[in-house]
Amino acid sequence: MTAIGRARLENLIAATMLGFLALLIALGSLFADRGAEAREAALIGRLSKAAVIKEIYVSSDPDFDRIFKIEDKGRIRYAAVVRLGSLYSSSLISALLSPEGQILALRFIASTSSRASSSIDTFLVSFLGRDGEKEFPKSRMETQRPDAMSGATLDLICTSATLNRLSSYVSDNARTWVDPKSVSSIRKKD
Amino acid sequence: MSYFGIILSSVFAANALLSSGFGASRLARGNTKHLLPSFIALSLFSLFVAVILWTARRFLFIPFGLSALEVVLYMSLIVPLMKFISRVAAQSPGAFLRKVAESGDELAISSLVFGIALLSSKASYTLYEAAIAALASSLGYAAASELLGAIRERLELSDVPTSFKGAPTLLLSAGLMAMAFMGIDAVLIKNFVG
Amino acid sequence: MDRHRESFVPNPLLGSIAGLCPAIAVTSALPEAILLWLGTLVVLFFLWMSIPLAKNLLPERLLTPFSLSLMAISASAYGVLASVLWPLLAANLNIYIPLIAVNSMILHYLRANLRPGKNQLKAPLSIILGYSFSFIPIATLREILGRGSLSLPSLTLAPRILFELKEAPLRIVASPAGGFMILGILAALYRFILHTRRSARP
Repeated sequence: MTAIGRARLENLIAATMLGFLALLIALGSLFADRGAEAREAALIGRLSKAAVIKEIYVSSDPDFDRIFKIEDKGRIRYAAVVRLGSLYSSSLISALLSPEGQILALRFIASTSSRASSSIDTFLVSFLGRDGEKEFPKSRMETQRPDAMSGATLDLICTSATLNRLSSYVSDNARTWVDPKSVSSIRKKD
Repeated sequence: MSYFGIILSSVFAANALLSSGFGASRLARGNTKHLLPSFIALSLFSLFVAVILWTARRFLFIPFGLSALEVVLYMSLIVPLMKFISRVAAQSPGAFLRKVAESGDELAISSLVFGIALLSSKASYTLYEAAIAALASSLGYAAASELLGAIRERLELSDVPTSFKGAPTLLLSAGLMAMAFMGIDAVLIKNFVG
Repeated sequence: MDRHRESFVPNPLLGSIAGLCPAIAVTSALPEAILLWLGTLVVLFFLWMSIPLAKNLLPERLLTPFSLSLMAISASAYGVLASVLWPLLAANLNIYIPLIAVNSMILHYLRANLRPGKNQLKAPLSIILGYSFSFIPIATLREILGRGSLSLPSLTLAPRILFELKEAPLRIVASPAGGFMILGILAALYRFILHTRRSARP
């Protein structure tokens, strides 16, 4: 065998070994993704007990991985498991939204700190009924109004930003998700 | 967020060095030679990697649940490509381009380029926004490291206790500067820019 | 140097200032820090075990790119494992698990051991000991001061909170600014102790 041929064979062996290992990682990642999907579906089931999951759409947002299209008493709703985080704590909540992006229900799941604002019921209640167009509060200055929440905290701003992104994402995409020929529809569940 | 808001956010609120700690080892060890070539190499490589990672995430990794392959893609394909580009550029007759290539070769396997690219591509940005964020993060890193380099030079002339000489004082200075940058957070930027 | 009396290993974090980026960003909470520390150890051990095998199969010219790819693969594998076992903590770590693959401390270990003619890889024990004895205490200190709590990773969604104070004594410590300052102070303290021990020797 010539030197070039031998070098090519060595390159091929190395690439094959790495390819095989990468394939194992890919398979592991697929299984982990399916497991995460099942776990989120179970958490969504606790939020809306009678709901049937119709479709699952993957999201590119760092704080929510999937949007679940569910049928709840004949009405189409969208749900997601959302990560709310700030410098001092992070929490997991589940959210139920209308196709217009209006937040219908929020349920606290877990947090890294028992002092996280989202573990307090009244904190999450403040975001109900909001949609992608009405951001509350828009800025710290708005919270100084007597009818608004006072003393904006970092948790409030971070939660508001994340839920507004979720709301906008659902309202922007809901129209295409209704169309079954839409390319956004990646996986279906019946 | 508007492009200007993304630039301000990437330079100040989410500064690559002072908020995320990328390139801190490099700075603490005193790798501050060739500032402009280093900045150009960092910007180009960050942009290049951010665009590739964003595209791969959008069309391959996220739809098929293969996010774990991101780092394999980076180390197996993108790093050798960057090394190759640096080596080709190092053959050029221009001295400036050779300095850029030398900096690029050193930056290819570093948490700085990969970290900036990951931050820019993972945020809920479009492709153009991710590219702008990558360039702005490189600018933010260069600005912070240049300021800290100037502080280091002044401290070398000062009477500092032996234990604090070098990296410890630099880290403390970086901490104080990070505290100053914390005042320009995402909320303030949003108030000004929207 | 009197080796058998030398109880301080040259610390990769506080001495050589390597692997600093996760140490600043991630050590604001102990559960996340333990996850990242574990990931770094897993990658180091995987390299230590697999590179001698690769040396028997591959020529010298392919060893470096192959080792870098192995680093990436082991970091990815750990990322997948962490997302299954500790989903909330792994999500908090976000980009820092992939960054284990470019950890400057591990790269330094590779550079020192991938030289031609070196068949046996030196066990990364000194790196692991030095890293562990600085990374974990920094995280503990930062969580107690910055968040006013101490928690450990658990197999449920939320970490196990060992204790929680009424409020955090020094909230700035949980921010990256505080991380830089704590590291600066500890690096100075490390140098002071090393200098004192060397001066005390006859």
